[in-house]
Amino acid sequence: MPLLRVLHVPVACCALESLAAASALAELGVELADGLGESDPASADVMVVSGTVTHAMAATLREVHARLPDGARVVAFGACASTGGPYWDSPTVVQGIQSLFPVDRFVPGCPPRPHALVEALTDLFDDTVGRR
Amino acid sequence: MSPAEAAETSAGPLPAARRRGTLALIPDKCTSCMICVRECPDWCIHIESHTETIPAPTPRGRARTVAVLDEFVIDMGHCQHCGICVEVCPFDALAWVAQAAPAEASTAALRHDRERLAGLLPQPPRGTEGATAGNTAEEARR
Ligand code: SF4
Ligand code: SF4
Ligand code: SF4
Repeated sequence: MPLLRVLHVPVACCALESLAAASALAELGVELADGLGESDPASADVMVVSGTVTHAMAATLREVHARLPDGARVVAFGACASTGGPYWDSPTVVQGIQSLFPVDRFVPGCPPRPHALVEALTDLFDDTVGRR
Repeated sequence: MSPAEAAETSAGPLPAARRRGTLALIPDKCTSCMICVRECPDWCIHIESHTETIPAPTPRGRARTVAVLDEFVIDMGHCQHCGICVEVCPFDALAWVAQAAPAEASTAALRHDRERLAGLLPQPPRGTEGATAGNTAEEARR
């Protein structure tokens, strides 16, 4: 059984980097599940939103978030998920996912390096994966 | 740099200027010229400055007006790490450091202020002008 279950929501280019962290995360006992696929959000400990979120997509993301168990954490991976990033003046882009639900960690970078996800998760879960 | 980061490149660790970890500032070199602010594609550099008048050094000289930097903020939550600001700064006041900025619990904490940006690099001793041996941005990048 994994130490930590991550519901990974890949919505744009940042996802290439967060997915590249999968093997390093697996070594730490962290499992990445596809948040837009078949996996059940109810079994996740943390949701990682990776990429640009458009207003058209916001409702889907809110639905996925609503199905997370109580106490699940949220990580915004990259500039777009954190603030809208390079699309700071776009009327179609959500200016940071904290406008949709509470966020626990904002990872800077456009995109951040894969290792930034490992660091954000070990920091956020310093009592479990961070100990390893 | 952590071993995992070093392993990111098969050729070994890249120099800071190519790794594009995070941005640093040498405030004493910054003339508040605003070039970086205007060239940044994300408009994520914020500068506050005021002007001061330096009196004429000789009876026949003229007083000079200079810009003095008050605050310098880079919003790393928006920054796309393109390096344009580093490239365009005519005074080498901006530089890359290899270690990426950490994730934060709020977007406000991703706004790196002058103190934080300056704390990442050895600063030239006060009162020296421009590049001083051992303190150029080029050397600091290594
Ligand atoms: S932060 Fe940059 S790399 Fe990430 S999704 Fe936005 S544009 Fe793409
Ligand atoms: S690296 Fe690019 S986006 Fe970031 S502050 Fe400099 S010019 Fe702006
Ligand atoms: S371009 Fe350089 S000198 Fe001009 S305001 Fe920016 S950092 Fe300062």
